[in-house]
Amino acid sequence: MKTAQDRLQHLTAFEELAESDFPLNMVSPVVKIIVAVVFIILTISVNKYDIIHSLLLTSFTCFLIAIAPLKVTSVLKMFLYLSPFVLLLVIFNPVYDKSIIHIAGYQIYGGYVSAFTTVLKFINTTTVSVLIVSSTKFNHIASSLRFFKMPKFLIIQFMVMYRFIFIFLYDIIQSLQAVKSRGFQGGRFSWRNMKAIISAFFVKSVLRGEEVYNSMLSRGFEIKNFKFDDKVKMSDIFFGLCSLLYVFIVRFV
Amino acid sequence: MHMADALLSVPVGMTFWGISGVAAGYASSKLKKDLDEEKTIPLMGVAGAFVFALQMVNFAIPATGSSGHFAGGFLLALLLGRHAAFLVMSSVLLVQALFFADGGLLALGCNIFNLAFIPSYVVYPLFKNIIDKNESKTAIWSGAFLSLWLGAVMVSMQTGISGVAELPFSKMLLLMLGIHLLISVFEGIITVGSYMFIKRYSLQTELNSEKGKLKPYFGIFSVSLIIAAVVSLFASSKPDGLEWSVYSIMGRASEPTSLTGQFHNLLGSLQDKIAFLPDYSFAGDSEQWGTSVSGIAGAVIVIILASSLGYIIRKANKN
Repeated sequence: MKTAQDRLQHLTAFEELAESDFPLNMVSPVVKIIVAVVFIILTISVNKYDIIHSLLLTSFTCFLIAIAPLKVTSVLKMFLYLSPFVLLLVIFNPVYDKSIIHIAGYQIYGGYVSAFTTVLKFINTTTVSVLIVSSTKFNHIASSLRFFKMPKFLIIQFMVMYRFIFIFLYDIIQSLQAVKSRGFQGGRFSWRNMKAIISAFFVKSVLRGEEVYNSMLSRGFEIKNFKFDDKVKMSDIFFGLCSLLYVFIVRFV
Repeated sequence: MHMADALLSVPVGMTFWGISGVAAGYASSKLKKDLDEEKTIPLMGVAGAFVFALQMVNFAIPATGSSGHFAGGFLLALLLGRHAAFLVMSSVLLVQALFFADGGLLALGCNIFNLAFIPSYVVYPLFKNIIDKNESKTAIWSGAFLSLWLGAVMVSMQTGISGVAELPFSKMLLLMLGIHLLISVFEGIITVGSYMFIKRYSLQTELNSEKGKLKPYFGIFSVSLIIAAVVSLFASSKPDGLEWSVYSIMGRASEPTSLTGQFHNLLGSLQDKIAFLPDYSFAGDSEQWGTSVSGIAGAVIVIILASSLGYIIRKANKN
């Protein structure tokens, strides 16, 4: 239940952050996505023993943190939640990679260096994508996906689904709360009953979804005539060019 | 099971972006042709939100101290059909990547392939005909189990090929499959339970508009490819048991140079000249890449040979 509540809070917080007036919020989502993708590709392409360039690229992440609405503590919380899979795999690097690397006159096992750069890459790529999304309204993200020629059908589905997620997360929290509070004697968990709850939840969701969709139609939502807003201003282009130039310089110089 | 950007190399990430992008275009065009958008989109939205919400329910994995959650790709395929299921799962993964950083942007292609493409286009066609015929719970369970397991295999392969993690592929695969064994069992149980229960409300017939039999050839082909690639990665570079025994008995480091031995060497050099993938690797290259590609190429050749043989037998039988 905590996960569902956390996720709901997280999504609500993102909606609020996107409405704020931080510098990164002003930039066109199309430009932000291009910058993020180029940054991620350049970060991943850094050699696993190259600490210097990995660290240099972190400077761009720090710059974005400074101009984005998301707090550093929120970013750190996210790392804690997402990092186990990455850590599980890179923790073996020092065990299997015994090559010797020279750093500032010191000899060090390559495995330690590659584990460190991988974690750094993980921090950089995750932070940049989260910062970009947290500073962008949902409708604008959908518009920019259309700009990148993603199928219209997929984007509308994505938009409708996103709206439904809020409703269903509330429902699932209620259902789980009910499951928790009705167990007077704290007996064993019953999968049989859980299956029934999940399935009933789905049926309820279908009916509820139809209601919501009809409401959207009543407010003038039309799939065929739905227009995506993707205006790019000169200031956006300036931000994009400066960012890309900086990222290329720190990656290749 | 979501891949992170940091575990991937750029070529692997871009390749899977390409595959997933083509699949998304194909699924959209198929769906546009077959279905009424006005009816389908809200249903797909509901199904996506349902799977997203279900993924919030974590269950403890006995004796490991960790927890897992439902993935839902195969259930979506059962409920919506393969094209809609692929798009719905893709949009769930898109929301997770964008809003929760659960799987990176570069890794999104890999995640769509592992969690949406495999259940919808590889596993679902394998089991659809059986499930339609007698609603076999075993088939539904197996489909859900196999979807998640093949996904775990693909995660290991993508990480292994990227070369970021130093953990040897065989160990990484065992680790991933071990972790996902119980998760897959629960995935199967939840899928069977949910599907059976939802069917009582007759919603499934409304949602899944795919009627008639599906040809499972692509599924069989893909599963064979994955198995071949995995098995070949385990292929040892050391001589096989028979060769090793012969050398030990002869007490020599190299093969004997008798007349038979010379004839053997002659055939060996001829084989070296005509074999395009000697010793399951690229000529002059002993890296794992070559071994893996050799496995895939071998599987493709075997599939072509077997199909040709079947075709010849069928023709002969007709005559």
